Amino acid sequence: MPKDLIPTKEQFEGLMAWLGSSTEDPGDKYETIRRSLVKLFVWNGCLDAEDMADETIDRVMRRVPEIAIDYSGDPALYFYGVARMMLKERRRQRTISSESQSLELRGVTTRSGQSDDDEINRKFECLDECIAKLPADSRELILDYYQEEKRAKIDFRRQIAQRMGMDVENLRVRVFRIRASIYKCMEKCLGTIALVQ
Amino acid sequence: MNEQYEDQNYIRSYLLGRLSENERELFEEKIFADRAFFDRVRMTEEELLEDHVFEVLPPEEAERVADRLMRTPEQIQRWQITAALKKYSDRGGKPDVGTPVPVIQATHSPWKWALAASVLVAVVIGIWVIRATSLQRQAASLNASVEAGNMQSDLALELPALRLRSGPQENMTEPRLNVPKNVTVVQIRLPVEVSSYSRYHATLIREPDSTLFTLNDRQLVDSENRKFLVVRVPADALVPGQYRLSVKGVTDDARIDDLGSYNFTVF
Repeated sequence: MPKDLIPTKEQFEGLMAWLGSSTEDPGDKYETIRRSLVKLFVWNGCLDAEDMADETIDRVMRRVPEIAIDYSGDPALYFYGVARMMLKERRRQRTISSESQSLELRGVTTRSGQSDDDEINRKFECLDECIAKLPADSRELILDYYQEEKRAKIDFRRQIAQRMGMDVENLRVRVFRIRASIYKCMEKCLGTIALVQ
Repeated sequence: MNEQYEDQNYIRSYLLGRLSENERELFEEKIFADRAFFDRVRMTEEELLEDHVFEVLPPEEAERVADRLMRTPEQIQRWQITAALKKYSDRGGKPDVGTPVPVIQATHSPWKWALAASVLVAVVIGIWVIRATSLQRQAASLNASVEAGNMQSDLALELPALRLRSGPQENMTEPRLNVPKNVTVVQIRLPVEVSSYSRYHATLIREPDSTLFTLNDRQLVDSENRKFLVVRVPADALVPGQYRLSVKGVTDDARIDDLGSYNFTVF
């Protein structure tokens, strides 16, 4: 990135002050916006979602002195507007959806090498470790939740929810949280990419 | 208007790419304006991956999930963990990876052992196939627009110059590469001194013979008065091992010549 495009400390402080005008915790707001940007780009098929999110934030940061004067409303929506423009720019440069289709997909060799086995074994070992770290009730719930076979699964969720005295929606949220904590633990154990965004 | 956002199927439609541009825009605004809604979308994404693992989706939806929600390394990894979780639960959550499920231990029935082994092999192969297919897509996407401007942050690996016939290259040290953790894309650069082909096909193979992906109809890229065949590879696909880039040239009259293989090692 050219030097004059790297946001300065003052620009960053300006951004935080602007975010602080609509919330008590600008740091938390910043994190939420960044997470939303990353997912937005992922859901729009961008493989470099993290970079795109940072670029969006940089662009907004550079414009804060002008925006802050008369912008009213949630700053998050301004970020979304800029992100939308970046997606349109990206699509103009290369049609995201068609680029993968335009290249012929060749058959892949369905071989499983030793290192693939090792990797899967390692995942299981980490999973053992991470599940063991869960509180007993969470562990029991997540193992139950994943145990049921194929099509009976949705009814099974209802049964688990009933058994635990909660509705299916609350069960979904609880499982989502347990899974997020497993991802976080797996991230540490495997020493890999961030799984929780 | 707001009721539709409460509808799980509407959220699924967004994630599966079924909303119109206008609907999509309104939906995404809601993602930014309402944190709880954002969490619900993330949760629905997880559940779609989960349904894919459980094979409860209709084929068309399963294809859309694979196409749209299993593109990034992070998404693929989460799919794999979900698959592992399911398998882990199926075997009763017993910690020892090497031991079969308890019900099979109790019966000692040989055909059940065989069945368990084949399920394990199928899972391993399934994970590998999905990862490889996804890698093909990633590579296609990364290489769709290869210009100097979008490659500056790549880690470059220059191979020996392209030769005009196949066969081992003498007195040539095999390039070796260490991929630092912060690198996301590795750029394999094959110098082409005499260009007599209008386009090139390149296949990256992990030795002994696992094809990672194939790129067709590549054009050469000019850089500092030299011409290169450039292949961009997601860094996390290059686990330690030996690799081979197999190159073919395509003439104007569509004849395809094998231009040999170029080896390198990732350590």
